[in-house]
Amino acid sequence: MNKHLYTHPLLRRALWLAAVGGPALAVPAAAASGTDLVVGYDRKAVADVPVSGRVTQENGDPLPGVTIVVKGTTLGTSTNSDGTFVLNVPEGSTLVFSYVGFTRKEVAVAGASTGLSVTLLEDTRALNEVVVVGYGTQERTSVTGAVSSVSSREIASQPVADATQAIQGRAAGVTVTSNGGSPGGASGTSIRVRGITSAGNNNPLYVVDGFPLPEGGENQLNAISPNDIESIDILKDASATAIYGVRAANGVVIITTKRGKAGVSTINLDVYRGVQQVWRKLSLLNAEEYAVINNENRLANGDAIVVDRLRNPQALGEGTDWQDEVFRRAAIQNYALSATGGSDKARFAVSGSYFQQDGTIVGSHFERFTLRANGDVQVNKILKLGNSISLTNLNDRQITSNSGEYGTVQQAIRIPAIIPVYRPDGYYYEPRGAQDNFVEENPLASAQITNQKFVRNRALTTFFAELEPLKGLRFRTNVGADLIFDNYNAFRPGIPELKVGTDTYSTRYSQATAGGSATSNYNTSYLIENTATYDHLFGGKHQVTFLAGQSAQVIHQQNVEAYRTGYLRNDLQVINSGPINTQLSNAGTIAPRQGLASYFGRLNYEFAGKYLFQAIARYDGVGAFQPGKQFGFFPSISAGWRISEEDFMKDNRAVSNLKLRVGYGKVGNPNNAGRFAYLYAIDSGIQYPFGPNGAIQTGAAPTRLANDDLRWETNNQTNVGIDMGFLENRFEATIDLYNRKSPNLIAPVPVSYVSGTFQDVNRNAASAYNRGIDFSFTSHNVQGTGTALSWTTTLNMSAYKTKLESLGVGQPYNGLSALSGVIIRYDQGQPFGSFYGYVADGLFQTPEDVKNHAFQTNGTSPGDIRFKDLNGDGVITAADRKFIGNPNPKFTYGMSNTVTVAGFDLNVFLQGSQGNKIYNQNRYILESALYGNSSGSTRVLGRWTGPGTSNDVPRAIAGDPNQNLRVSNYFMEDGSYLRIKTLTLGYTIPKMVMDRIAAKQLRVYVSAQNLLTLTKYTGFDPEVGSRGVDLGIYPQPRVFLAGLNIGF
Amino acid sequence: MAIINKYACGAWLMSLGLLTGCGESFLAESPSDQVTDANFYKTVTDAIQATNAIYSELGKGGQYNYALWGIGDIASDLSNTGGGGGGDGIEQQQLDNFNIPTTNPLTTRLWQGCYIGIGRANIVLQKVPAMTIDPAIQQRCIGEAEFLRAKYYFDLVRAYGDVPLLTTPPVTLNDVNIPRTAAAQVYVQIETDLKDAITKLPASYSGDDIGRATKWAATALLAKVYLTEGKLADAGTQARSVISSSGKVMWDSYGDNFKVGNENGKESLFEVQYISGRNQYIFDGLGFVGNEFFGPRGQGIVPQGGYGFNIPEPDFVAGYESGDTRRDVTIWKPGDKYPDGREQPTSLPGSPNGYAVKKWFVGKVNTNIWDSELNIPVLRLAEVYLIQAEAEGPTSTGLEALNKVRRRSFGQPINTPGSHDIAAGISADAFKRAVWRERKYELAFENDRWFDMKRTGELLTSPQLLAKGVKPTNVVFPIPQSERDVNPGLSQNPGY
Repeated sequence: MNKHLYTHPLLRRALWLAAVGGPALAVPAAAASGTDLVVGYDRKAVADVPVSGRVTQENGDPLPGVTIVVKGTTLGTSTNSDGTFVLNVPEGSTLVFSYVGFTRKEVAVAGASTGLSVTLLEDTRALNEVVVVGYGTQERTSVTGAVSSVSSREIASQPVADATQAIQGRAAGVTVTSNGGSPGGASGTSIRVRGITSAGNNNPLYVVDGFPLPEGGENQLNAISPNDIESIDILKDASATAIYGVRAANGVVIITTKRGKAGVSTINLDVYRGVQQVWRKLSLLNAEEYAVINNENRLANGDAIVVDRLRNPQALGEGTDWQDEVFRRAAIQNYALSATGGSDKARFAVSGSYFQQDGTIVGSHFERFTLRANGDVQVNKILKLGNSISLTNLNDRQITSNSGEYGTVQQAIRIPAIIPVYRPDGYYYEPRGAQDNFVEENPLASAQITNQKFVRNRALTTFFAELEPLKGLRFRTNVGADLIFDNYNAFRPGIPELKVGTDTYSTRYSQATAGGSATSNYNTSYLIENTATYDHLFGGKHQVTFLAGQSAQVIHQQNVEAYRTGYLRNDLQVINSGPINTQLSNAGTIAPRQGLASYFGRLNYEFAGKYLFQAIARYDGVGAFQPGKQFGFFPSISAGWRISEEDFMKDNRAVSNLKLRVGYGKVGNPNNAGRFAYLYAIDSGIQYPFGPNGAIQTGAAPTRLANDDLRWETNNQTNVGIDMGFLENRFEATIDLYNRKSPNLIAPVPVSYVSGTFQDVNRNAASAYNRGIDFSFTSHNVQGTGTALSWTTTLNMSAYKTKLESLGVGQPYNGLSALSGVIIRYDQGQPFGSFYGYVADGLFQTPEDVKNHAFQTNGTSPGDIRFKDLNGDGVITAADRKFIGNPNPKFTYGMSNTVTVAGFDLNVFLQGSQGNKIYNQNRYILESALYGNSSGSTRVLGRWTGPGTSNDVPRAIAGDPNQNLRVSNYFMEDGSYLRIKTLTLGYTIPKMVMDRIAAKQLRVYVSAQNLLTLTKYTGFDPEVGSRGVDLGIYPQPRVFLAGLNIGF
Repeated sequence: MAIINKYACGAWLMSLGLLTGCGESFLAESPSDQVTDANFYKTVTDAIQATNAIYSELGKGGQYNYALWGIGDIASDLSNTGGGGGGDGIEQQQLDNFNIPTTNPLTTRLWQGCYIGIGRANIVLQKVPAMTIDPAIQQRCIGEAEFLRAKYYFDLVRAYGDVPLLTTPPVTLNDVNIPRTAAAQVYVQIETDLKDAITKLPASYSGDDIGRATKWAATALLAKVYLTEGKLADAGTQARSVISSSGKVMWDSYGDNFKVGNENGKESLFEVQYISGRNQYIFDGLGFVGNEFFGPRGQGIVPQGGYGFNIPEPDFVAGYESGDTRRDVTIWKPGDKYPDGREQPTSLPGSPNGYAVKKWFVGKVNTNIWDSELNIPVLRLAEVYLIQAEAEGPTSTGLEALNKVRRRSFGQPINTPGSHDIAAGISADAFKRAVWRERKYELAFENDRWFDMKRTGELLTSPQLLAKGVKPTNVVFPIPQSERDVNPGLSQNPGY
């Protein structure tokens, strides 16, 4: 090994430890082994006797791979593909039969016996489930941290492209918010594990089959078919996440895909097809109403009515219904075919899927193909090899809806109904200032004219080798690659000008501006990890598991892009078909390689199955930081006490499970720090044209101050949890309380332009906390087996309080701004992301009202909004703004009820959010009808027209002299909602019928998603993204579908 | 078993070895895709690029592409906001009606643009003198930085009064968050910079350096600064120096100043350089937005139809003397022929009298490109004559300077007495007012009127502006709220 590998002394030591740690541990174990692998087993003078038999499922099928251990020892074996086993055991032993997903069973053997028949019952309870905890698994009973799990059943039950959407409402402490209803989940889904602690990136780390994905935004998982997912485990508190160190502050979402099981061969086909539609349309002004309001606002301001046809509103009638033009019924379909199976020696799971979803807004379309092959091979007694290979091709035809302001949704609500959709020759009509009073784009044209196609090809692959030279000692090497190739091609054709008589239909899409662009991104990440695990039971009571490992990951990103305009024809849309002239541009970059080097260890100690203890340490180096400041240490410690295993509780029938957990840890988040913040970056993209021909010359200057003190954000978290089960776990509950402290949050601190720079400087200036409670409850209300009635209810709730405690050297600063100005502001003492603005206080009714109130503007008149003079200085200024609302919910919840009887299954899943505020920026557009030439909501028909006519909707006056549109609580609404997220009714064809068609299982179902939404929110959809500002979001569809899954 | 253990450990170690293959630079990363201060400020090219960066703010929204036409024209007695006549251009309306919030985007952008320019000048003035490069270029870069820093501070001090004065690049935030410096002290710095720039800048340029600041640009700016400070004698000296020695002469025809083919021409002392077609729909591109923004609304004589902003006020239009050729160069009025043969209507949305600004009209004859390439003059010789006239008063040379400008406007030979000359014997005060009036029409829509009105006091006496609600506190604009948010030590101007 190269001694000069790393310069950092601590790292060198850690590497040495990691290198020698494996053999050092292995040596005593090997010394004690010989013929007997058991260390410390207190052997009595009893003879070994042979025992053989067969393990079956409830339906009589053999159960291969069942682990059989002599209780109190590590003597054991597993069943063959036909479920049989042979074992020599000491006389008078008790055999423990266990298998994932089945109830553990103990059988006492008096002496030698053959033909032992053991039936294991399927276990649907969470208690014995195996939890993936990072670099290994644990039984739920041994877990000391806070971990939520979502099963494949819950994921597959929803018609979503991105499995993260299926977590919504399923896991306590995990808030999932859709950023829009674009097909394929392309708008992204925000997952916030236990609230937010940063004004920047709050995304969790995603680990897919052991591969930590590079941070890649909020639609990462739409490249994975939900049908392929076995489980999603979410590590929530630092005592659990510390194993992922510097990247773990926002929680870790571990996705495990399905693998083959020995002896159980299945072929499954899942198919569904459905239709989608927006569940709500807004009530907008028709042509006549628009004319009335527009004329009124013009006349009120002394402006002339210049468009003749507006003079007679009655003649205009309904006009165009732009919502009907833009929204549509859209198809969704999914086909997933998989085959799994194998033997003791080799197991496989292969699958392919096709998912297709049209958007509910015209012009948007998504389709995805996936292929997966997961394999495991037991090469010999000690060596196991395996792989997960997945290939994805996704095609996304996009529209501009999710760019928010000026997107298709906002265009559709602002364009007046007096404007036709098409011009006489069939091309899109383009609003013309003189004829239409309006010059913005036709929303149909903007959604459809530019052909924007995004294609992603992704290969995510891991290979592992696992060596188990001694029982309980495993060396594992895991290598992986995540290769993402993105192509984005767009072409905007030209439209000819049309002349009809003297009337010219000019176009903003002239042929001379027809343009094509092509962007290609190449993002790859490679990983190598080596771990050693030693797992042993000492003296029958001391269960010890030790893990030590190393991980190195590199991430490369590069892109090239090209753009040309002036295409002479519209049919050849590639870059090469465009003219070579001054109207072309090209760009490309190869970002410097990003590296992560990590060393980690975990020790678990369990005494007598009652007292649990876990310690984790991770030492992480991140190349983004200044040399010498790259490494950080992330420890955690946690303990558990299984009270129900104590003698005094053992006989308690009411309480079947009681476990107390306590943990503390420290983790990090480097994503908000950017890279090379310690250097002054010179922006060489500054340009200025000199000379008679306007030769562009390059200018160069820094645009941001350097900060060599910048470090990753850290997060210190305490967790106290309790797991409870009553009446043989008929009722189960888990409660976790946590306190997340973030002492050095990175705040993009704006600097004064007096610095000569304009970019915010990232500084570890802020501190914040999140305190909350996660609660989940499961009740097996009616427990029937077979075709008898069974009814299960699960409920989970999450509540947290977040507060930005201090900004340190920073100043309060502004977040999101929109047309009306700053909406989100960060200040100490406030929850993250709070809205900031004026306080509206009804409308002025009379001139006296205006006179008696603080001065607002010169143009303030009766019918305008009265804003509160918070500082009492007699004039309304920016100083009269305050924090007006919190976008963070008081609590979120999900409740699922499943009833099965006589082959039917019914699932109703409710999900909701309570107490969050939404800043409805769409109403800025919808009510601009009062002040200008946009159209809008019929709400403006109730405008103020004289004293006492309204205290809610202001007067119509062109130019909005009072600035009624300024950011104020007038536009803020309650964002609480309760939604029937999914309702599914299924029927499983009886087995006797199935036998005739040679299928093992056949289930048909119908399902509805977003069937009903109860909310006071007046916009299209209360799910407006994690910021809580509705900028014209692509609304969630309501989906009706029918599906079929068939197993052979 | 022992053998297996050896294999096991060996395999594990071997895989560790795979990692070591990445070499000792596994975490060592350097920005391969950007220039940093570690590898810049070394060569002649670096010095020139650092200097070019100071110029780039001139063409952007913080100066001539947005803030200055809103402030210089709309906030004065020249024009109204215009636009769609509805809620269009609220930020311009705020200036138009002197109802200016501290968040007004135009006044905010002016501050921002000036300080970005100043910051870049400060870097050049810190780094370039220490570089070992061609001394001629070195001197020139220093002179350009001084000239531009003076220009930006001149705009700041006139628009806001006292402003933070920073002349070296900041190292820490404490260097940035400083209080306002008295305006008089800022003027001292402006004068110092310009005097030094005059000694360092060349008299002219050739080829692709045309458009850079010359010695005469600096001298003319110094004359204007002195005039603003009321140092009339000094203003006169500098103005005469430009007129006698710069080699610049006035175009015979007023309209020749505003033609693409005449850019950086014989009357020009300093211009903002624009080219078109590089950017669409932004104020911060390389082209000027005025062709589109000032084009008669919806008339289709400019690429996107025309937005009809910056509408000349009827009083201003009525004030043209009969025969003044500048009127038809400067504005559209009803009945004026468009290039395509159509005529300007009698009224348009936002322009009830059918007026529009024509001075920056380029049309779309050869192009459908949104922005336009026509340069905007910052200083031209006609203004220097008017500075001379104002500085000297109704002396024979003062009268002659004013009358040269007037003769041209009536299409008469510049150097021989004309029919519209201001005659000798006029009182000093009447003469001063005549010069101010001449400036109003000669420099109309050249982003200067508000500054002139402030300087002369007309801002608070103009009946048009009083009707719009101008208040004594409007002689300065508000310090941007966003700046006061980050630097609470920054005091606000009274009345805002």
